[in-house]
Amino acid sequence: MGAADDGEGEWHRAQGSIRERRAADRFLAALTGKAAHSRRRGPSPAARESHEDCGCGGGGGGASEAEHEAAANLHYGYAEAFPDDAELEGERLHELAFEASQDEAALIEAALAEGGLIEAGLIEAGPAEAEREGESDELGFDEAEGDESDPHARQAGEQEHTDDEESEYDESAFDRSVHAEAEYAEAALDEGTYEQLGEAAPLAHHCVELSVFRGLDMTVDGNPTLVTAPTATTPPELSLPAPTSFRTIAGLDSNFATEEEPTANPREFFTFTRGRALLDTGHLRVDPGNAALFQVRLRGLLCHPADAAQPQRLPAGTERLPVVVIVHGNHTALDFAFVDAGGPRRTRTVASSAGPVTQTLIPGRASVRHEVRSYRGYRDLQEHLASLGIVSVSLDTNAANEIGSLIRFRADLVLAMLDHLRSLDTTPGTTFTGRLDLSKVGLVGHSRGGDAVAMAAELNRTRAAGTACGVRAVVTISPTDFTGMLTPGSARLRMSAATTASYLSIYGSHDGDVSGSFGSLRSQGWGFVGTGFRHYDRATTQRAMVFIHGATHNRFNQVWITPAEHAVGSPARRLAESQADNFDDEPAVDPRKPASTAFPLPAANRDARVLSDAAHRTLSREYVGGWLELWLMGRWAQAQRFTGAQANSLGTPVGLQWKLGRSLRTIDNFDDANPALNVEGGAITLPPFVREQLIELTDLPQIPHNDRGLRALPPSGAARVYRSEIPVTARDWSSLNALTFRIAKHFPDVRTPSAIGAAAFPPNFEIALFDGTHRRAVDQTVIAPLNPRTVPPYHRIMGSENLTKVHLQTWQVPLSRFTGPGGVSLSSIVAVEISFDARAGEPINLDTLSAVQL
Amino acid sequence: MAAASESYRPRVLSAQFVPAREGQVGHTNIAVVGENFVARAVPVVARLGSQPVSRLVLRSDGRGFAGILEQAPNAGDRLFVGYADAELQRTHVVYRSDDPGPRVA
Repeated sequence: MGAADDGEGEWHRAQGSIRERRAADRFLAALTGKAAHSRRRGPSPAARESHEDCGCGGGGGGASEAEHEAAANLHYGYAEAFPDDAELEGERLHELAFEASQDEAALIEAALAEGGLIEAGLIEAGPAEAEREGESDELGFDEAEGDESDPHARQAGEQEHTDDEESEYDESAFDRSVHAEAEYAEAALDEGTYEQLGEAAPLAHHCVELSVFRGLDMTVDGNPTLVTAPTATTPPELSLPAPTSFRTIAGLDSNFATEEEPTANPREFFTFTRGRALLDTGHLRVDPGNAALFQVRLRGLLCHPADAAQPQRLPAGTERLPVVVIVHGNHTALDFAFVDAGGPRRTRTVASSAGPVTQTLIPGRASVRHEVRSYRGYRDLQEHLASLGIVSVSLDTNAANEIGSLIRFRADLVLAMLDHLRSLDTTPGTTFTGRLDLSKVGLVGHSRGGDAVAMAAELNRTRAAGTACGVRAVVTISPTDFTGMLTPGSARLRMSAATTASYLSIYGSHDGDVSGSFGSLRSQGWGFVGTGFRHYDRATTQRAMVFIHGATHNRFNQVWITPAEHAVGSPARRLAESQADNFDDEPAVDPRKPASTAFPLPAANRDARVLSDAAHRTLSREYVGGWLELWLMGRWAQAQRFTGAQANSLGTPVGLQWKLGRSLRTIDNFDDANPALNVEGGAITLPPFVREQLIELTDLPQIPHNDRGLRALPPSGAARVYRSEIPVTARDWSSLNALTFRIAKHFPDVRTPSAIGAAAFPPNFEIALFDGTHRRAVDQTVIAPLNPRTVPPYHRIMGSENLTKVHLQTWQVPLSRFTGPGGVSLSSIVAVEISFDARAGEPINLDTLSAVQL
Repeated sequence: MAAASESYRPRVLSAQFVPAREGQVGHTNIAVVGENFVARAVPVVARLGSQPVSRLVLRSDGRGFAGILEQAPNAGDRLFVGYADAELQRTHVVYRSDDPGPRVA
């Protein structure tokens, strides 16, 4: 792609951003009934339109015919067919081994200098080292570098950096945010709903590496299979066979395919299995008590609040501290090098274009040439948690990554780490003896780690007393959803109050990995990988979801976006390099994005709306940290971040869904198949143009949900009011102070930000309470300004797919709006009534009708 | 720099089919050589004909993957490969029953 193309692409992106900002302004104006303030200038509308549908992308690559022919000829033994490449491969292998040896020497030196043996122990990575590692430190600690920092100084620096990177859009967003915040704060104070969001004095903190071995099954997942094919209006249903678990050394060979690694000699290959390589490299070890079994290494970065004078110790006191386990997701993990393991060699004869060729297969013993330590990628969050008084461990799941685990093995590792933390609490003489509160546990998972912590929480629920922990919060960041399309009633992960006291889903508009895009997969199990929206939809415990505009997938892990953390020349390193330059998320790996087929990535692939990595850290502290502070520390003021009463410090637009309250009453969630009764058993009256149904992307590809709700079409007939009656025993709402619900409307045209901005919002509806005598209603002109952080659908095009998200957002109406002279009595609410007035082609969706005490 | 060989699209160059060893799960091992197989949240999936490749593990250098075919492959079965959130790509690899296959001594 030439320079001219790049410039045009960049211009196109910039105009897209401006259009979106204008759409947002119009949206806000419609919402608040006020003209949006803007100081921005842009090209003429005609100029904009001329580039509206510009492709601006590069062409795809593909193997040449010659390459195909050559490849076909080497059906067996690629080194034989490409002898030159094989030689180069050998040279490269030695070169990398040399590079690694330099790094290893430095690591050993550093580890020894700090008195820590574990890191150094990993370097040799043989079973003997693994055993020595386990014996060297029974509690498994090693010092981590940079143990202390001033969180205020760090945050100030990052804020400055972030401010530098913010665009005009953010400036405008800031204006809107300040305006809206002042307005809302005033309203909130009027309603008396919130205390002020305060900041506790941060504690000093300290981080250490942790590594121990535990007997633990290794689990490999089966493949999902299609049970019920999707139709035009119904999603597919899948089944996921029970995973296979084993703990024997023999199982490490029998459960995985035999792999081959070329040597410097093109006629010789090292053979290995992935399980055996994990044993060789110290991720597993032979069980000291039974040579037929293995143990799994539990490794992680542990950060804790610290005594300012003695950072290795906890702050003085006797109080127990909440515990958080953080789990990274799937990512490149181990780069192996091999040597002759000394086992029996075998030979084989393979066909080649030059005739039969004899090859030698040599049992290989693996060592680690390079490892990406994904678990170190959340240190900023961990230090923040420690400063709040929370102990956290970011868990290494590279072993799970190596075997391609979907969920179960990762979840088992989480539980094993919780068991270890319990042992630290109960073992006399440790730093943490009697100081960890396993009844206040938070589980945070990123990407596949999100599914994993959800499953870990479910598994924890069924564990025996004394082993089970008290899970107060499950937080998923950009989670996969591998269970959402399993057949109903099967193993769909669902965060209920029995599983966890609360659930938070964080998801970014520029998540290019878990994108929620299923393309034309209808015949292949379309919908297999869902997003955080579906996790949120299924949750029934107290919950929130923050859809962050401009957030990506990888930037929530600092290691994943740091090129130096990855092996030279690896695809993961090139991906990290692209991340470091404000590119869209995972543009490089997504085959749908035309401009993603070459490296370096063309400027057309940039998207100015993508948030910086510093912004991701800040938002992670505020939302993930805030949620954990709320549920583990009991600081209710943090709820304001999730109800919209408090904006984030960057003014970043977020779409919020939540069901929170010191007290909650669900009127109806529309999830059962009985439209005649609500959750409380009260009768429902449905006008003919309103029905309960699945809100799903079958309705509109841009709807990311999979949940039942109300769907209102344009009114017709005499009956116009949806009415949900409150049973006699549930009519006293005097302890509650807000009515909440999720709402969205269909946008008739989501092809461009302009089209979205031109659509009318909010939808026309009126909601009323009736106490048997009085009825008081408020309509959207009153409700919308009370929810000023509502955002328009986020417009995003990736390749040929429109990934705009038209999602539900939670709105609240203070119950005081229904009371007063002539209003209703909150001690005797008889019914909730809603009058919908949807436009043609723009049905209104509504879900999760609740009354809460905020 | 933007050469086709540096494309990020996963590409299959060749595949090797080897009968499972005694005691090993499945019927046949498959080892695929290619490029740009990146470990993502969304898994790489493959099927030979209608049979899915199970226990699929990626190489960290992105140069392919290995997996297991639970059942005997059929002659003429074609290999399809891709990520689970996109249409699988048809490859040039077709299993041929008349291949002599590796003879391991």
